[in-house]
Amino acid sequence: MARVMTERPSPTGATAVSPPQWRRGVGRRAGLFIAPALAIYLLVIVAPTVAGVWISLTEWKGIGDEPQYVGFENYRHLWSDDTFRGSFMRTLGILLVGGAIVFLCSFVFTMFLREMRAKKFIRAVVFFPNVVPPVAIAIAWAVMLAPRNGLLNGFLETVGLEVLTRTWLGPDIIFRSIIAGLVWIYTGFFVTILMAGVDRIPNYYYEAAELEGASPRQKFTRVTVPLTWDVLSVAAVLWVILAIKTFEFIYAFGGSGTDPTSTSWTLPVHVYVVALGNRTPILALGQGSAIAVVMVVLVGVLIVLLRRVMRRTAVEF
Amino acid sequence: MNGPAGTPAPIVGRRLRRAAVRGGSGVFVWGWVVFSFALLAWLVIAAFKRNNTVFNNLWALPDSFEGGNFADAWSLLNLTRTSLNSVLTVGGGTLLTMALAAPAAYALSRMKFRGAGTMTGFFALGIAVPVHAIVIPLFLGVSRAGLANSLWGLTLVYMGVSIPFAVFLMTGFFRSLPTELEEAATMEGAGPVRVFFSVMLPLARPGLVATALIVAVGLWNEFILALTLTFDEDKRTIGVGLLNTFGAMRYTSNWVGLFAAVVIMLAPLIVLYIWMSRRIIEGLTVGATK
Repeated sequence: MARVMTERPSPTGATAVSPPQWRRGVGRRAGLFIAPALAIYLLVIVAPTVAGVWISLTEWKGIGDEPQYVGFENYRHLWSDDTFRGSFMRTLGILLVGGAIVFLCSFVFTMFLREMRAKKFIRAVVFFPNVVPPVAIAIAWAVMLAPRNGLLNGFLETVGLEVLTRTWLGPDIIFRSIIAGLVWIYTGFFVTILMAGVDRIPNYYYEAAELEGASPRQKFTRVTVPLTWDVLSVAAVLWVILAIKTFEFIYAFGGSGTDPTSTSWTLPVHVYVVALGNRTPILALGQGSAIAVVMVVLVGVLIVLLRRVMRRTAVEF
Repeated sequence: MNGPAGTPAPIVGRRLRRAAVRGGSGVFVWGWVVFSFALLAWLVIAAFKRNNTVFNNLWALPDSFEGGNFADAWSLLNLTRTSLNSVLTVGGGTLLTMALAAPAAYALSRMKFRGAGTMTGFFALGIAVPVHAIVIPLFLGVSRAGLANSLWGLTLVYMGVSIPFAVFLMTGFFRSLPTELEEAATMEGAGPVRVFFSVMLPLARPGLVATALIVAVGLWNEFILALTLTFDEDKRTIGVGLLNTFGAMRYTSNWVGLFAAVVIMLAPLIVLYIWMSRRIIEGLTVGATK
């Protein structure tokens, strides 16, 4: 507004986006359009995020109790808490191990689907778990992996592979079963996103690579990856967010009434259980908020790191 | 890669290896698809079985069709009530989100004002804040506002948590629209509000529909907020109802009732999905790759 721009055609010949008579006061008009959304956003997301930081510095048993300022006591407690360390490591486990498997599976899908007729059908099938309420998926998964009468063990016995039967939901391997479930859910999501990138690559790049005698793997590393780099970096950021907020599937896996055993907790499950969960909530709001702050910081740090690592000039094509 | 490709033997070997890679990934992909269908089919078939024999032979077809399982499931889920609650909160939340996010996205992407970029980034930050990390302050705030255990409270929070992603998706859509019509309308003397409603909204309709669908699907699957912000039986949403049914199953062992409940929940979703999946998927990918 302060700068009065002289009317002149832009070098590309296209006129400026906003028509000239709006230019004065455009900030105020835009403000009117944005204000309602901004107000709700500030109220429902930004304010709670800030409030969470403050609550994490207190000891507070909920409404009716006065919050006591305790400084970094809650964080100090987390530092020496083995249960928290477990939740933290499992969240990292989902992020890294689960992430590696999800992306590997997605790559296999995208490579295979690129030249397939049935690709829209297959994409729709693998994406489907993403529109199903996670509770329903957790039930299906629990039935499949149940130790007695479970589908997986039943199947293994039917085909004569009793040696492979396991108590899939036992405390020692339940977490792997959970990761398998998450892979099944999320692979479809990333296949969809990666394929959107792959579909934009003109086919002659692949034809040229084929003429040069490139193997499928070379086509993938020399054509697909460089030409979908921007999509890949968006996908990686989305995975960080999805992985760190893994809650529903794990929480529902154990059924309601009881909270899941702490051998399957992740950070959000931990937040919920210590602050709000259980039949009679512990209401350790300060403690829970400290874990929540750790989550937000973790998401933030990882996204900044990822953007830095994956920043690269986009290949124009 | 750069070896001479003249000798026949390596070529044959290479072809074989490629066929193996292709065959292997084909088995993997189709195996995945078959597994997904098999799991779904098993649940549907089991939902018609008798409870005392459902696990006797896992792979048998039901010897009698127990339609009563579905009536049981209906009352276990309190489905008349829970589905109404879900439709009200998800529908209301989606409509309110669109009503607020569409004008904001329009202004952010089409009006040239100072700070537009910063503001867009500020909205996008909200996508990275997991609701699970703010569930405690949200619970406290909603309680203090007297909106705990109310569908209104849940609807308002649903709107709030959906706004960042909706704004993000729609700025992408608005940005991709041509500028000519907007300019022509302004020449004719239409003000910004008029231009937004009569020119831009109709142009952006496919994008708006896709965004609304994605928001609605996300809220339909939302769970932790419904679990935290409502607690009475008659305020539950379908997802929480299903979890309680699952929990009750540990004591009653009414497995077929549980399977029927899952099927009841999936059936309308599958129908909708067959009808709408293309729009959802395309909307999501346009937003993610822009």
